[in-house]
Amino acid sequence: MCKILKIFNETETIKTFRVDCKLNHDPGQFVEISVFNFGEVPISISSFSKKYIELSIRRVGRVTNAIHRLKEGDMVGIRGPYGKGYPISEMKNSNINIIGGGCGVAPLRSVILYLKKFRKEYKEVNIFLGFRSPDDILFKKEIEDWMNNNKFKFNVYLTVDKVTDEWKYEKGVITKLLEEKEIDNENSYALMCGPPIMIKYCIETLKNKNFKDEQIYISLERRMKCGIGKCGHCMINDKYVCLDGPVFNYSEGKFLED
Amino acid sequence: MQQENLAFIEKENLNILISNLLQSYEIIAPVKKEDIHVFDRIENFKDIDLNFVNTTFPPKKYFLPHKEKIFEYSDKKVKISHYNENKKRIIFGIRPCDVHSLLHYDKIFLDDEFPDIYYWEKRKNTLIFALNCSDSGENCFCTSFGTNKLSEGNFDLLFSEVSQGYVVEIGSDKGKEIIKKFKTLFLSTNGKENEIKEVECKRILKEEDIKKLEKSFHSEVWKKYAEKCLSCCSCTITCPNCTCFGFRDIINLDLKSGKRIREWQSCQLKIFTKVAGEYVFRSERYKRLRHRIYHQLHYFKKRFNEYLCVGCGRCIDNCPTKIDMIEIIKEL
Repeated sequence: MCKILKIFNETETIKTFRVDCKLNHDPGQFVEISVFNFGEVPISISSFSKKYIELSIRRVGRVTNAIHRLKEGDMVGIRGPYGKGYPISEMKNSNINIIGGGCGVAPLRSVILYLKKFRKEYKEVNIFLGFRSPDDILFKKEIEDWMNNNKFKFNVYLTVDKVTDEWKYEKGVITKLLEEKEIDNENSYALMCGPPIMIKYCIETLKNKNFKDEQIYISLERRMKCGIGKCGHCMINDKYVCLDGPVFNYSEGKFLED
Repeated sequence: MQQENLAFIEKENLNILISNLLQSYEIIAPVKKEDIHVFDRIENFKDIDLNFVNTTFPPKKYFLPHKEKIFEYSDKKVKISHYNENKKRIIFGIRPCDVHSLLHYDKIFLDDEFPDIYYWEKRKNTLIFALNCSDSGENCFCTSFGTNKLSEGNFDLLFSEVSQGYVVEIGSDKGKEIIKKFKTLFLSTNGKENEIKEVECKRILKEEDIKKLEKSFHSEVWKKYAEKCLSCCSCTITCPNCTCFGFRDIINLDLKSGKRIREWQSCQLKIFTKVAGEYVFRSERYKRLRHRIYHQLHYFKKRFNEYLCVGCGRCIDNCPTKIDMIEIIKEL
Protein backbone atom coordinates (compact mmCIF):
# COMPACT_ATOMS: atom_id res chain seq x y z
CA MET A 1 0.00 0.00 0.00
CA CYS A 2 1.36 3.39 -0.96
CA LYS A 3 0.33 6.93 -0.02
CA ILE A 4 -0.71 9.54 -2.57
CA LEU A 5 1.67 12.44 -1.94
CA LYS A 6 0.33 14.97 -4.39
CA ILE A 7 -2.33 15.31 -7.06
CA PHE A 8 -1.92 17.55 -10.13
CA ASN A 9 -4.91 18.47 -12.26
CA GLU A 10 -3.78 18.20 -15.87
CA THR A 11 -7.01 18.51 -17.82
CA GLU A 12 -10.68 18.14 -17.09
CA THR A 13 -10.37 14.35 -17.26
CA ILE A 14 -6.71 13.68 -16.47
CA LYS A 15 -4.94 13.94 -13.13
CA THR A 16 -1.37 13.06 -12.26
CA PHE A 17 -0.90 11.23 -8.98
CA ARG A 18 2.45 11.31 -7.22
CA VAL A 19 2.68 8.15 -5.15
CA ASP A 20 5.09 7.37 -2.32
CA CYS A 21 6.60 4.34 -4.00
CA LYS A 22 10.28 3.88 -4.74
CA LEU A 23 10.72 1.79 -7.88
CA ASN A 24 13.66 1.07 -10.10
CA HIS A 25 12.08 1.22 -13.52
CA ASP A 26 12.73 1.92 -17.18
CA PRO A 27 10.78 4.65 -18.98
CA GLY A 28 7.78 2.98 -20.64
CA GLN A 29 7.17 0.32 -17.99
CA PHE A 30 3.82 0.14 -16.19
CA VAL A 31 2.40 -0.64 -12.75
CA GLU A 32 -0.92 -2.11 -11.63
CA ILE A 33 -2.73 0.34 -9.38
CA SER A 34 -5.48 -0.85 -7.03
CA VAL A 35 -8.32 0.91 -5.31
CA PHE A 36 -9.97 -1.65 -3.07
CA ASN A 37 -13.69 -2.19 -3.66
CA PHE A 38 -13.21 -1.09 -7.26
CA GLY A 39 -10.35 -3.06 -8.76
CA GLU A 40 -7.04 -2.72 -10.48
CA VAL A 41 -5.82 -1.12 -13.71
CA PRO A 42 -2.50 -1.05 -15.58
CA ILE A 43 -1.03 2.47 -15.83
CA SER A 44 2.31 3.49 -17.29
CA ILE A 45 4.72 5.45 -15.15
CA SER A 46 4.98 9.05 -16.32
CA SER A 47 7.85 10.09 -14.04
CA PHE A 48 11.49 9.21 -13.72
CA SER A 49 12.58 9.58 -10.12
CA LYS A 50 14.11 7.47 -7.41
CA LYS A 51 11.90 9.05 -4.76
CA TYR A 52 8.38 8.50 -6.07
CA ILE A 53 6.34 7.48 -9.11
CA GLU A 54 3.80 9.59 -10.96
CA LEU A 55 0.82 8.13 -12.76
CA SER A 56 -1.18 10.26 -15.18
CA ILE A 57 -4.66 8.84 -15.31
CA ARG A 58 -7.63 9.64 -17.50
CA ARG A 59 -11.04 9.16 -15.89
CA VAL A 60 -12.78 6.64 -18.17
CA GLY A 61 -14.01 3.61 -16.27
CA ARG A 62 -14.95 2.25 -12.86
CA VAL A 63 -11.45 2.08 -11.39
CA THR A 64 -10.07 5.28 -12.90
CA ASN A 65 -13.13 7.20 -11.67
CA ALA A 66 -12.50 5.81 -8.20
CA ILE A 67 -8.87 6.90 -8.41
CA HIS A 68 -9.98 10.41 -9.38
CA ARG A 69 -12.12 10.62 -6.24
CA LEU A 70 -9.06 9.98 -4.02
CA LYS A 71 -7.35 12.78 -2.12
CA GLU A 72 -3.79 13.50 -1.12
CA GLY A 73 -2.90 11.20 1.78
CA ASP A 74 -5.17 8.37 0.61
CA MET A 75 -3.69 4.93 0.01
CA VAL A 76 -3.54 2.90 -3.20
CA GLY A 77 -2.13 -0.54 -3.97
CA ILE A 78 0.80 -0.65 -6.38
CA ARG A 79 2.34 -3.74 -8.08
CA GLY A 80 5.20 -3.58 -10.51
CA PRO A 81 7.03 -2.31 -12.45
CA TYR A 82 6.09 -4.69 -15.24
CA GLY A 83 6.91 -5.19 -18.89
CA LYS A 84 9.59 -3.87 -21.17
CA GLY A 85 10.04 -0.13 -21.54
CA TYR A 86 11.86 1.93 -24.16
CA PRO A 87 15.49 0.73 -24.37
CA ILE A 88 16.68 4.33 -24.04
CA SER A 89 19.91 3.42 -22.24
CA GLU A 90 20.95 1.43 -25.32
CA MET A 91 20.45 4.45 -27.59
CA LYS A 92 23.32 6.58 -26.32
CA ASN A 93 25.09 8.88 -28.79
CA SER A 94 22.15 8.89 -31.20
CA ASN A 95 19.37 11.27 -32.16
CA ILE A 96 16.11 10.69 -30.33
CA ASN A 97 12.70 11.55 -31.79
CA ILE A 98 9.80 11.37 -29.41
CA ILE A 99 6.31 11.28 -30.88
CA GLY A 100 3.32 11.28 -28.57
CA GLY A 101 -0.39 11.88 -28.83
CA GLY A 102 -2.93 12.55 -26.08
CA CYS A 103 -2.63 10.23 -23.10
CA GLY A 104 0.27 8.55 -24.90
CA VAL A 105 2.44 11.46 -23.84
CA ALA A 106 2.43 10.08 -20.27
CA PRO A 107 4.93 7.21 -20.70
CA LEU A 108 7.00 9.41 -23.03
CA ARG A 109 7.33 12.02 -20.29
CA SER A 110 9.27 9.37 -18.39
CA VAL A 111 11.64 9.12 -21.38
CA ILE A 112 11.96 12.91 -21.59
CA LEU A 113 12.74 13.17 -17.87
CA TYR A 114 15.36 10.46 -18.34
CA LEU A 115 16.86 12.42 -21.25
CA LYS A 116 16.87 15.58 -19.13
CA LYS A 117 18.97 13.74 -16.60
CA PHE A 118 21.40 12.19 -19.08
CA ARG A 119 21.20 14.87 -21.80
CA LYS A 120 24.93 14.90 -22.55
CA GLU A 121 24.91 11.28 -23.63
CA TYR A 122 22.49 11.91 -26.49
CA LYS A 123 22.70 13.93 -29.68
CA GLU A 124 19.68 15.79 -31.04
CA VAL A 125 16.37 15.38 -29.21
CA ASN A 126 13.18 16.21 -31.11
CA ILE A 127 9.90 16.06 -29.28
CA PHE A 128 6.61 16.01 -31.21
CA LEU A 129 3.49 16.25 -29.09
CA GLY A 130 -0.08 16.34 -30.31
CA PHE A 131 -3.34 16.96 -28.49
CA ARG A 132 -6.96 17.51 -29.46
CA SER A 133 -7.23 21.05 -28.12
CA PRO A 134 -5.28 23.40 -25.84
CA ASP A 135 -7.49 22.23 -22.97
CA ASP A 136 -6.40 18.62 -23.48
CA ILE A 137 -2.69 19.25 -23.00
CA LEU A 138 -0.95 17.28 -20.28
CA PHE A 139 2.10 18.66 -18.45
CA LYS A 140 1.47 22.07 -20.01
CA LYS A 141 3.89 24.08 -17.86
CA GLU A 142 6.56 21.43 -18.14
CA ILE A 143 6.28 21.30 -21.92
CA GLU A 144 6.77 25.06 -22.07
CA ASP A 145 9.82 24.68 -19.87
CA TRP A 146 11.24 22.00 -22.21
CA MET A 147 10.63 24.41 -25.09
CA ASN A 148 12.06 27.54 -23.58
CA ASN A 149 14.82 26.43 -21.28
CA ASN A 150 17.92 26.37 -23.46
CA LYS A 151 19.91 24.20 -21.14
CA PHE A 152 17.89 21.09 -22.14
CA LYS A 153 18.54 21.62 -25.87
CA PHE A 154 15.24 19.97 -26.76
CA ASN A 155 13.44 20.81 -30.03
CA VAL A 156 9.83 20.69 -28.93
CA TYR A 157 6.97 20.84 -31.43
CA LEU A 158 3.52 21.11 -29.96
CA THR A 159 0.38 20.89 -32.04
CA VAL A 160 -3.38 20.73 -31.47
CA ASP A 161 -6.20 19.76 -33.81
CA LYS A 162 -8.59 22.48 -32.69
CA VAL A 163 -7.04 25.89 -32.03
CA THR A 164 -8.27 28.81 -30.00
CA ASP A 165 -7.48 32.49 -30.54
CA GLU A 166 -4.69 32.59 -27.97
CA TRP A 167 -2.95 29.52 -29.37
CA LYS A 168 0.65 30.31 -30.29
CA TYR A 169 2.05 26.94 -31.35
CA GLU A 170 1.39 24.55 -34.26
CA LYS A 171 -1.97 23.56 -35.67
CA GLY A 172 -3.13 20.29 -37.23
CA VAL A 173 -2.40 16.61 -36.91
CA ILE A 174 0.98 15.49 -35.66
CA THR A 175 1.82 13.71 -38.94
CA LYS A 176 1.81 17.03 -40.79
CA LEU A 177 4.25 18.42 -38.27
CA LEU A 178 6.44 15.37 -38.56
CA GLU A 179 6.44 15.67 -42.36
CA GLU A 180 7.43 19.34 -42.32
CA LYS A 181 10.35 19.12 -39.92
CA GLU A 182 13.76 17.95 -40.99
CA ILE A 183 14.71 14.85 -39.09
CA ASP A 184 17.92 12.97 -39.57
CA ASN A 185 17.29 9.28 -40.14
CA GLU A 186 20.95 8.37 -39.65
CA ASN A 187 21.80 7.15 -36.19
CA SER A 188 18.25 8.00 -35.05
CA TYR A 189 15.44 6.40 -33.16
CA ALA A 190 11.73 7.18 -33.01
CA LEU A 191 9.88 6.48 -29.76
CA MET A 192 6.11 6.58 -30.05
CA CYS A 193 2.98 6.27 -27.99
CA GLY A 194 -0.52 7.37 -28.86
CA PRO A 195 -3.79 6.35 -30.44
CA PRO A 196 -3.49 3.51 -33.04
CA ILE A 197 -4.45 5.82 -35.90
CA MET A 198 -1.71 8.29 -35.01
CA ILE A 199 0.88 5.50 -34.75
CA LYS A 200 -0.16 4.16 -38.15
CA TYR A 201 0.26 7.44 -40.02
CA CYS A 202 3.38 8.51 -38.14
CA ILE A 203 5.05 5.24 -39.11
CA GLU A 204 4.18 5.92 -42.76
CA THR A 205 5.73 9.36 -42.47
CA LEU A 206 8.86 8.01 -40.81
CA LYS A 207 9.19 5.36 -43.52
CA ASN A 208 9.02 8.16 -46.10
CA LYS A 209 11.90 9.76 -44.27
CA ASN A 210 13.79 6.47 -44.70
CA PHE A 211 13.52 5.29 -41.13
CA LYS A 212 13.99 1.52 -40.84
CA ASP A 213 11.60 -0.66 -38.81
CA GLU A 214 14.38 -1.34 -36.31
CA GLN A 215 14.69 2.38 -35.54
CA ILE A 216 11.04 2.68 -34.47
CA TYR A 217 9.60 1.78 -31.07
CA ILE A 218 5.87 1.71 -30.33
CA SER A 219 3.97 1.17 -27.10
CA LEU A 220 0.81 -0.94 -27.27
CA GLU A 221 -2.27 -0.67 -25.13
CA ARG A 222 -4.00 -3.83 -23.96
CA ARG A 223 -6.04 -5.06 -21.02
CA MET A 224 -3.12 -6.18 -18.82
CA LYS A 225 -4.90 -7.73 -15.85
CA CYS A 226 -2.18 -9.73 -14.14
CA GLY A 227 0.90 -8.05 -15.59
CA ILE A 228 2.88 -11.28 -15.35
CA GLY A 229 1.95 -13.29 -18.44
CA LYS A 230 -0.69 -15.56 -16.97
CA CYS A 231 -4.21 -14.19 -17.30
CA GLY A 232 -4.22 -14.12 -21.12
CA HIS A 233 -6.02 -10.80 -21.57
CA CYS A 234 -3.18 -8.93 -23.26
CA MET A 235 -2.20 -11.66 -25.71
CA ILE A 236 -1.71 -10.65 -29.33
CA ASN A 237 -0.59 -13.62 -31.35
CA ASP A 238 2.04 -15.41 -29.26
CA LYS A 239 3.10 -12.24 -27.44
CA TYR A 240 2.04 -11.13 -24.00
CA VAL A 241 1.98 -7.32 -24.06
CA CYS A 242 2.65 -7.31 -20.30
CA LEU A 243 5.86 -9.37 -20.62
CA ASP A 244 7.15 -8.83 -24.15
CA GLY A 245 5.86 -5.25 -24.33
CA PRO A 246 4.16 -2.83 -23.87
CA VAL A 247 7.03 -1.32 -25.88
CA PHE A 248 7.83 -3.25 -29.04
CA ASN A 249 10.38 -2.62 -31.72
CA TYR A 250 8.39 -2.04 -34.90
CA SER A 251 10.25 -4.83 -36.72
CA GLU A 252 8.51 -7.17 -34.28
CA GLY A 253 5.39 -5.12 -33.61
CA LYS A 254 4.32 -4.76 -37.23
CA PHE A 255 3.45 -8.45 -37.47
CA LEU A 256 1.16 -8.42 -34.46
CA GLU A 257 -2.53 -8.69 -35.28
CA ASP A 258 -5.51 -9.49 -33.05
CA MET B 1 8.05 -50.34 -18.58
CA GLN B 2 10.48 -51.80 -16.10
CA GLN B 3 9.34 -54.69 -13.97
CA GLU B 4 10.31 -53.11 -10.63
CA ASN B 5 8.12 -50.11 -11.40
CA LEU B 6 5.02 -52.25 -11.91
CA ALA B 7 2.53 -53.87 -9.58
CA PHE B 8 -0.89 -55.42 -9.83
CA ILE B 9 -3.95 -54.70 -7.69
CA GLU B 10 -7.18 -56.67 -7.73
CA LYS B 11 -10.45 -54.76 -8.01
CA GLU B 12 -11.50 -55.60 -4.40
CA ASN B 13 -8.14 -54.44 -3.10
CA LEU B 14 -8.47 -51.13 -4.89
CA ASN B 15 -11.53 -50.59 -2.72
CA ILE B 16 -9.45 -51.28 0.41
CA LEU B 17 -6.62 -49.05 -0.82
CA ILE B 18 -8.89 -46.09 -1.54
CA SER B 19 -10.81 -46.55 1.74
CA ASN B 20 -7.53 -46.53 3.66
CA LEU B 21 -6.20 -43.51 1.82
CA LEU B 22 -9.43 -41.62 2.55
CA GLN B 23 -8.40 -41.51 6.21
CA SER B 24 -5.45 -39.28 5.48
CA TYR B 25 -6.18 -37.78 2.07
CA GLU B 26 -8.95 -35.86 0.43
CA ILE B 27 -9.72 -37.87 -2.71
CA ILE B 28 -11.10 -36.40 -5.91
CA ALA B 29 -12.37 -38.95 -8.39
CA PRO B 30 -14.85 -39.42 -11.25
CA VAL B 31 -18.44 -39.72 -10.05
CA LYS B 32 -21.64 -39.99 -12.02
CA LYS B 33 -24.03 -37.04 -11.74
CA GLU B 34 -27.25 -37.50 -13.69
CA ASP B 35 -25.98 -38.56 -17.10
CA ILE B 36 -22.48 -37.15 -17.01
CA HIS B 37 -19.23 -37.95 -15.20
CA VAL B 38 -17.44 -35.23 -13.28
CA PHE B 39 -14.65 -35.02 -10.74
CA ASP B 40 -15.86 -34.64 -7.19
CA ARG B 41 -14.62 -35.09 -3.66
CA ILE B 42 -15.58 -38.60 -2.56
CA GLU B 43 -16.63 -39.87 0.89
CA ASN B 44 -16.57 -43.58 0.07
CA PHE B 45 -15.05 -45.82 -2.56
CA LYS B 46 -18.53 -46.60 -3.85
CA ASP B 47 -18.98 -42.96 -4.88
CA ILE B 48 -16.47 -43.56 -7.66
CA ASP B 49 -17.81 -44.58 -11.06
CA LEU B 50 -15.07 -45.68 -13.43
CA ASN B 51 -17.46 -46.58 -16.21
CA PHE B 52 -16.56 -43.49 -18.22
CA VAL B 53 -14.59 -42.53 -21.30
CA ASN B 54 -13.68 -39.06 -20.05
CA THR B 55 -15.32 -36.66 -17.61
CA THR B 56 -17.42 -33.86 -19.12
CA PHE B 57 -15.45 -31.28 -17.19
CA PRO B 58 -11.70 -31.54 -16.71
CA PRO B 59 -10.37 -31.43 -13.12
CA LYS B 60 -8.94 -27.93 -13.62
CA LYS B 61 -11.13 -26.35 -10.95
CA TYR B 62 -9.26 -28.32 -8.27
CA PHE B 63 -6.07 -26.51 -9.27
CA LEU B 64 -7.45 -23.25 -10.61
CA PRO B 65 -10.82 -22.73 -8.93
CA HIS B 66 -13.62 -21.05 -10.81
CA LYS B 67 -13.58 -18.36 -8.13
CA GLU B 68 -10.70 -18.03 -5.71
CA LYS B 69 -10.00 -15.52 -2.97
CA ILE B 70 -6.48 -14.13 -3.36
CA PHE B 71 -6.55 -11.60 -0.55
CA GLU B 72 -8.75 -9.83 1.92
CA TYR B 73 -8.52 -6.13 2.49
CA SER B 74 -9.72 -3.68 5.07
CA ASP B 75 -9.19 0.06 5.45
CA LYS B 76 -5.44 -0.05 5.37
CA LYS B 77 -4.47 -3.70 5.57
CA VAL B 78 -4.15 -6.53 3.08
CA LYS B 79 -4.17 -10.17 4.13
CA ILE B 80 -2.93 -12.62 1.52
CA SER B 81 -4.93 -15.85 1.31
CA HIS B 82 -3.48 -19.30 1.49
CA TYR B 83 -4.88 -22.65 0.60
CA ASN B 84 -5.80 -23.38 4.18
CA GLU B 85 -6.82 -27.01 3.85
CA ASN B 86 -3.44 -28.48 4.57
CA LYS B 87 -4.87 -31.94 4.07
CA LYS B 88 -3.10 -33.75 1.28
CA ARG B 89 -5.11 -34.62 -1.78
CA ILE B 90 -5.19 -37.40 -4.32
CA ILE B 91 -6.75 -37.01 -7.71
CA PHE B 92 -7.74 -40.50 -8.83
CA GLY B 93 -8.93 -41.48 -12.29
CA ILE B 94 -7.50 -38.51 -14.17
CA ARG B 95 -6.90 -39.36 -17.83
CA PRO B 96 -3.41 -38.92 -19.31
CA CYS B 97 -4.58 -36.03 -21.53
CA ASP B 98 -5.71 -34.10 -18.45
CA VAL B 99 -2.39 -34.83 -16.72
CA HIS B 100 -0.67 -33.22 -19.70
CA SER B 101 -2.84 -30.15 -19.12
CA LEU B 102 -1.53 -30.02 -15.56
CA LEU B 103 1.98 -29.99 -16.98
CA HIS B 104 0.93 -27.00 -19.10
CA TYR B 105 -0.38 -25.21 -15.98
CA ASP B 106 3.06 -25.78 -14.45
CA LYS B 107 4.65 -24.06 -17.44
CA ILE B 108 2.28 -21.09 -17.24
CA PHE B 109 1.94 -20.67 -13.46
CA LEU B 110 5.26 -21.93 -12.11
CA ASP B 111 7.74 -19.95 -14.18
CA ASP B 112 10.91 -18.78 -12.43
CA GLU B 113 10.11 -15.08 -12.45
CA PHE B 114 6.50 -14.98 -11.22
CA PRO B 115 5.52 -18.34 -9.66
CA ASP B 116 1.87 -18.46 -8.60
CA ILE B 117 1.59 -19.44 -4.93
CA TYR B 118 -2.15 -20.12 -5.07
CA TYR B 119 -1.64 -22.71 -7.78
CA TRP B 120 1.54 -24.14 -6.29
CA GLU B 121 -0.05 -24.80 -2.88
CA LYS B 122 -2.68 -26.98 -4.51
CA ARG B 123 -0.40 -28.61 -7.02
CA LYS B 124 2.28 -29.68 -4.53
CA ASN B 125 -0.30 -31.14 -2.17
CA THR B 126 -1.92 -33.35 -4.79
CA LEU B 127 -0.88 -36.87 -5.75
CA ILE B 128 -1.70 -37.85 -9.32
CA PHE B 129 -3.26 -41.31 -9.66
CA ALA B 130 -3.88 -41.40 -13.40
CA LEU B 131 -6.03 -43.92 -15.24
CA ASN B 132 -5.22 -45.06 -18.76
CA CYS B 133 -8.06 -45.10 -21.27
CA SER B 134 -9.64 -48.36 -22.37
CA ASP B 135 -11.83 -46.69 -24.97
CA SER B 136 -11.81 -43.61 -27.21
CA GLY B 137 -14.49 -40.94 -27.13
CA GLU B 138 -16.21 -39.84 -30.35
CA ASN B 139 -14.00 -36.76 -30.62
CA CYS B 140 -10.79 -37.88 -28.91
CA PHE B 141 -7.59 -37.14 -30.81
CA CYS B 142 -4.91 -37.30 -28.11
CA THR B 143 -2.86 -39.90 -30.02
CA SER B 144 -2.17 -37.17 -32.59
CA PHE B 145 -0.16 -35.35 -29.89
CA GLY B 146 1.14 -38.34 -27.93
CA THR B 147 -0.72 -37.03 -24.88
CA ASN B 148 -2.20 -40.51 -24.33
CA LYS B 149 1.17 -41.46 -22.81
CA LEU B 150 2.75 -40.32 -19.57
CA SER B 151 6.41 -40.39 -18.70
CA GLU B 152 7.91 -41.05 -15.28
CA GLY B 153 7.93 -38.02 -13.02
CA ASN B 154 4.70 -36.65 -14.46
CA PHE B 155 2.44 -38.82 -12.30
CA ASP B 156 2.60 -40.71 -9.02
CA LEU B 157 0.69 -43.86 -9.96
CA LEU B 158 -0.77 -44.87 -13.32
CA PHE B 159 -3.56 -47.46 -13.38
CA SER B 160 -4.38 -49.56 -16.46
CA GLU B 161 -7.37 -51.85 -16.43
CA VAL B 162 -6.67 -55.53 -17.15
CA SER B 163 -8.61 -58.70 -16.30
CA GLN B 164 -9.61 -58.78 -12.60
CA GLY B 165 -7.81 -55.61 -11.69
CA TYR B 166 -5.31 -52.93 -12.57
CA VAL B 167 -1.67 -52.88 -13.51
CA VAL B 168 -0.12 -50.00 -11.56
CA GLU B 169 2.93 -48.16 -12.84
CA ILE B 170 4.97 -46.17 -10.34
CA GLY B 171 5.97 -42.71 -11.56
CA SER B 172 7.49 -41.05 -8.49
CA ASP B 173 8.96 -41.63 -5.05
CA LYS B 174 5.69 -40.59 -3.47
CA GLY B 175 3.91 -43.23 -5.55
CA LYS B 176 6.49 -45.79 -4.50
CA GLU B 177 5.89 -44.96 -0.83
CA ILE B 178 2.15 -45.58 -1.21
CA ILE B 179 2.79 -49.02 -2.75
CA LYS B 180 5.28 -49.80 0.01
CA LYS B 181 2.90 -48.73 2.75
CA PHE B 182 0.09 -50.91 1.41
CA LYS B 183 2.26 -53.70 0.03
CA THR B 184 -0.09 -56.45 1.15
CA LEU B 185 -2.70 -55.16 -1.32
CA PHE B 186 -0.39 -55.40 -4.33
CA LEU B 187 0.80 -58.44 -6.25
CA SER B 188 3.39 -58.88 -8.95
CA THR B 189 1.99 -58.38 -12.41
CA ASN B 190 2.81 -61.87 -13.72
CA GLY B 191 2.82 -60.63 -17.28
CA LYS B 192 -0.54 -58.90 -16.99
CA GLU B 193 1.08 -55.71 -18.32
CA ASN B 194 1.08 -57.42 -21.72
CA GLU B 195 -2.72 -57.24 -21.66
CA ILE B 196 -2.61 -53.41 -21.76
CA LYS B 197 -3.45 -52.37 -25.26
CA GLU B 198 -3.01 -48.92 -26.66
CA VAL B 199 -6.32 -47.31 -27.51
CA GLU B 200 -6.57 -45.85 -30.99
CA CYS B 201 -8.33 -42.48 -31.06
CA LYS B 202 -11.39 -42.21 -33.25
CA ARG B 203 -10.15 -38.95 -34.74
CA ILE B 204 -6.84 -37.66 -36.00
CA LEU B 205 -5.39 -34.16 -36.34
CA LYS B 206 -2.41 -34.35 -38.63
CA GLU B 207 0.77 -32.35 -38.01
CA GLU B 208 0.81 -31.25 -41.66
CA ASP B 209 -2.71 -29.84 -41.24
CA ILE B 210 -1.72 -27.92 -38.11
CA LYS B 211 1.23 -26.47 -40.02
CA LYS B 212 -1.29 -24.78 -42.33
CA LEU B 213 -1.97 -22.34 -39.47
CA GLU B 214 1.32 -20.62 -40.25
CA LYS B 215 -0.24 -19.25 -43.42
CA SER B 216 -3.97 -19.23 -42.70
CA PHE B 217 -4.44 -16.27 -40.39
CA HIS B 218 -6.40 -14.36 -43.02
CA SER B 219 -8.36 -17.32 -44.36
CA GLU B 220 -12.10 -16.87 -44.94
CA VAL B 221 -12.69 -20.20 -43.20
CA TRP B 222 -12.59 -18.46 -39.79
CA LYS B 223 -15.48 -16.22 -40.76
CA LYS B 224 -17.48 -19.13 -42.10
CA TYR B 225 -17.26 -21.12 -38.86
CA ALA B 226 -17.64 -18.05 -36.66
CA GLU B 227 -21.09 -17.51 -38.15
CA LYS B 228 -22.19 -20.55 -36.16
CA CYS B 229 -20.46 -19.46 -32.96
CA LEU B 230 -22.71 -18.22 -30.14
CA SER B 231 -19.83 -17.05 -27.90
CA CYS B 232 -21.31 -19.29 -25.21
CA CYS B 233 -17.85 -20.24 -23.91
CA SER B 234 -18.66 -23.97 -23.62
CA CYS B 235 -15.35 -24.65 -25.36
CA THR B 236 -13.25 -22.60 -22.96
CA ILE B 237 -15.11 -23.78 -19.85
CA THR B 238 -14.67 -27.46 -20.67
CA CYS B 239 -11.18 -27.10 -22.12
CA PRO B 240 -8.60 -28.46 -19.67
CA ASN B 241 -6.04 -25.95 -21.00
CA CYS B 242 -8.03 -22.72 -20.96
CA THR B 243 -6.80 -21.00 -17.81
CA CYS B 244 -7.38 -17.31 -18.51
CA PHE B 245 -8.69 -15.32 -15.59
CA GLY B 246 -9.60 -11.87 -14.31
CA PHE B 247 -9.99 -10.19 -10.95
CA ARG B 248 -12.96 -8.74 -9.12
CA ASP B 249 -13.42 -7.05 -5.74
CA ILE B 250 -16.30 -8.25 -3.58
CA ILE B 251 -17.26 -5.65 -1.00
CA ASN B 252 -18.44 -6.46 2.51
CA LEU B 253 -21.51 -4.77 3.94
CA ASP B 254 -19.38 -2.34 5.96
CA LEU B 255 -18.37 -0.90 2.55
CA LYS B 256 -14.77 -0.72 3.75
CA SER B 257 -13.47 -4.25 3.69
CA GLY B 258 -13.80 -7.03 1.20
CA LYS B 259 -11.90 -9.55 -0.82
CA ARG B 260 -10.35 -9.71 -4.24
CA ILE B 261 -11.14 -12.86 -6.13
CA ARG B 262 -9.71 -14.23 -9.28
CA GLU B 263 -12.17 -15.96 -11.55
CA TRP B 264 -12.21 -17.69 -14.92
CA GLN B 265 -12.71 -15.50 -17.93
CA SER B 266 -13.04 -16.45 -21.54
CA CYS B 267 -11.36 -15.11 -24.66
CA GLN B 268 -14.61 -15.85 -26.50
CA LEU B 269 -16.27 -12.80 -24.95
CA LYS B 270 -15.87 -9.25 -26.21
CA ILE B 271 -15.14 -7.89 -22.76
CA PHE B 272 -11.95 -9.96 -22.66
CA THR B 273 -10.00 -7.43 -24.73
CA LYS B 274 -11.92 -4.30 -23.85
CA VAL B 275 -9.78 -1.34 -22.78
CA ALA B 276 -10.40 2.18 -21.53
CA GLY B 277 -12.77 4.11 -23.75
CA GLU B 278 -14.80 0.99 -24.62
CA TYR B 279 -12.38 -0.08 -27.34
CA VAL B 280 -12.44 -3.85 -28.04
CA PHE B 281 -9.45 -5.36 -29.82
CA ARG B 282 -11.16 -8.59 -30.82
CA SER B 283 -14.67 -7.33 -31.38
CA GLU B 284 -15.45 -9.62 -34.32
CA ARG B 285 -16.44 -13.16 -33.41
CA TYR B 286 -14.16 -14.78 -35.97
CA LYS B 287 -11.15 -13.10 -34.37
CA ARG B 288 -12.05 -14.61 -31.02
CA LEU B 289 -12.59 -18.09 -32.47
CA ARG B 290 -9.34 -17.77 -34.40
CA HIS B 291 -7.44 -16.59 -31.33
CA ARG B 292 -8.58 -19.62 -29.29
CA ILE B 293 -7.52 -22.13 -31.92
CA TYR B 294 -4.25 -20.36 -32.67
CA HIS B 295 -3.45 -20.27 -28.96
CA GLN B 296 -4.10 -24.01 -28.68
CA LEU B 297 -2.21 -25.09 -31.78
CA HIS B 298 0.28 -22.38 -32.66
CA TYR B 299 1.04 -19.63 -30.12
CA PHE B 300 1.73 -21.90 -27.14
CA LYS B 301 3.95 -24.05 -29.31
CA LYS B 302 5.97 -21.01 -30.36
CA ARG B 303 6.50 -20.06 -26.73
CA PHE B 304 6.83 -23.42 -25.01
CA ASN B 305 7.64 -25.75 -27.92
CA GLU B 306 4.58 -27.87 -27.27
CA TYR B 307 0.95 -27.82 -28.37
CA LEU B 308 -1.39 -26.43 -25.73
CA CYS B 309 -4.22 -28.64 -26.99
CA VAL B 310 -4.07 -32.16 -25.56
CA GLY B 311 -6.70 -33.63 -27.89
CA CYS B 312 -9.40 -34.40 -25.30
CA GLY B 313 -12.13 -33.37 -27.77
CA ARG B 314 -14.26 -31.62 -25.13
CA CYS B 315 -14.57 -28.39 -27.14
CA ILE B 316 -16.07 -30.40 -29.99
CA ASP B 317 -18.27 -32.56 -27.74
CA ASN B 318 -19.75 -29.58 -25.93
CA CYS B 319 -20.23 -27.01 -28.69
CA PRO B 320 -23.98 -26.45 -29.07
CA THR B 321 -23.56 -25.59 -32.74
CA LYS B 322 -21.04 -28.37 -33.41
CA ILE B 323 -18.08 -26.18 -34.32
CA ASP B 324 -15.35 -28.71 -34.87
CA MET B 325 -11.72 -27.64 -34.51
CA ILE B 326 -10.46 -30.60 -36.56
CA GLU B 327 -12.85 -29.77 -39.41
CA ILE B 328 -11.73 -26.13 -39.40
CA ILE B 329 -8.05 -27.04 -39.53
CA LYS B 330 -8.65 -29.51 -42.36
CA GLU B 331 -10.56 -26.96 -44.36
CA LEU B 332 -7.92 -24.21 -44.11
